[in-house]
Amino acid sequence: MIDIQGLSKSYQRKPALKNAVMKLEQGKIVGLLGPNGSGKTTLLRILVSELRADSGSVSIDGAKLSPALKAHISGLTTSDFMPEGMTIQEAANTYESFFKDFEMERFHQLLKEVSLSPDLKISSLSKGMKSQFALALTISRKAKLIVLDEPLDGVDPVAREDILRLIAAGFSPDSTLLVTSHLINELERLLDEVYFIQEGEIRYIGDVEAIRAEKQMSLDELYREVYRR
Amino acid sequence: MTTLLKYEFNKLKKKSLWSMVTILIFAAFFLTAGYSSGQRINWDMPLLQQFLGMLSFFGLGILMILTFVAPFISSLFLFHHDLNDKHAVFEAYIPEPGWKRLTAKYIIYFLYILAGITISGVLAYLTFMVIKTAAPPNIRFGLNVEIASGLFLEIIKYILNAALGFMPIIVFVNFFVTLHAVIRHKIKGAVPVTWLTAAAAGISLSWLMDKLTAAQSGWFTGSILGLDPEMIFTFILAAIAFIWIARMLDTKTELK
Repeated sequence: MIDIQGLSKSYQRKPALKNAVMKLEQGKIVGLLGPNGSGKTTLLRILVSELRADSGSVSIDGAKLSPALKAHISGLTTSDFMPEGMTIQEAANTYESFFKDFEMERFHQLLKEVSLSPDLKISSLSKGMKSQFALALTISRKAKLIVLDEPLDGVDPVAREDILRLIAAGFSPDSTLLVTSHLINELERLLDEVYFIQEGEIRYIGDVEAIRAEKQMSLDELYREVYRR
Repeated sequence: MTTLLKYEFNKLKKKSLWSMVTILIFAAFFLTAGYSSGQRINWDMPLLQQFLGMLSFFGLGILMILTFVAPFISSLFLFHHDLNDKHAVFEAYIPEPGWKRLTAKYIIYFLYILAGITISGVLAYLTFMVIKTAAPPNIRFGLNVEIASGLFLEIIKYILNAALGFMPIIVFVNFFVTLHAVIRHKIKGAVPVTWLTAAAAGISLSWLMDKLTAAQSGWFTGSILGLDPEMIFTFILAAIAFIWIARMLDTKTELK
């Protein structure tokens, strides 16, 4: 169980995240949906220790965020994050040496899914290919918490399909996956549960299947209704 | 720790491999030029030979200075890159405590600086050989075994002293690089605030060192291996800064 309690963060006194509360269960793909600048990335960057919260706490199975706990969190907040000059295989070797939960075989399977060769230099990849490679690297870890920030952002519709396929193929039921996007329609079919976020305030919406059955509307329509856009 | 050392080494190798290759190519060229000029440079020599002799001498001199200081200067920036470049994100993911990550970085920086100074020493020796070759026959360069072995020990001591002497400077600079990463999202003028804090700390430390060590003070005036008081003081301060940086890396630093 991932427990996020009262998380707040400001940038030079400008609040970006206000008292966020989330409870994420194992084996679920949870969406955090909201427009650009709503605070999604800030929350995810706190979870992967790129930023520090001003207040509040994050715990995984009762253990608070710490350098040691990073071993159980796999993050993707940008697709361009490995040291310069590496090949895909060298990056995977680096991942394998630092993260005990990294599965090389699974990584190679995922690379095959998107037809990427391990010998390619990362610097030679296009933006879409970089996103696919980085995603494969991230979800090849059997981490307790996997966070993906806007995995569909800036890639063409074909690559988006590949990325959605990768997430579905790579997700392990031992993990919890928290994924953000402002492209609500495209991500909807992957999600088990959903939170909405606007102006740093998070609102729990519920089980996606139940919402569809109950309200007879898509998440995108519901989002517009909730925030009256 | 082995994994961290391997990672830091690979990162440095990728960054500095081509610089090293370039230096070696230039060194080979200057040495060949020096040896092929073959005699003392004077105005009676053909112009090309004069030019080759001068080029070799000055080229090797510049390479010596470069190999001596370049690893130190680039070490000052490596940590800054680790907190600010794209790969800073990956480093934030590494599940190791700050002190371990920092130790691995400093071991690699130290070896890098040591390698630079050693190469610089080798180039100095080769330059000496070029000068010896080019010297007129009535000038003799002689070293007996006793003097040579003494000189060798002095050189080793000098190399270790120089490499160790650079390390506290790197730690202090890194402290302020880390401080900037801590305050960058909290304070609007984080960059000038960091510079001003660094300047104030530098001036205060210098004043304190002057008071403590009276006549002699400064980074390079004392011998580390001889355990001079100002160097002991410098190393105690560096140790405190190291612990502080490690703590900030674990709980306070933020990426762009």
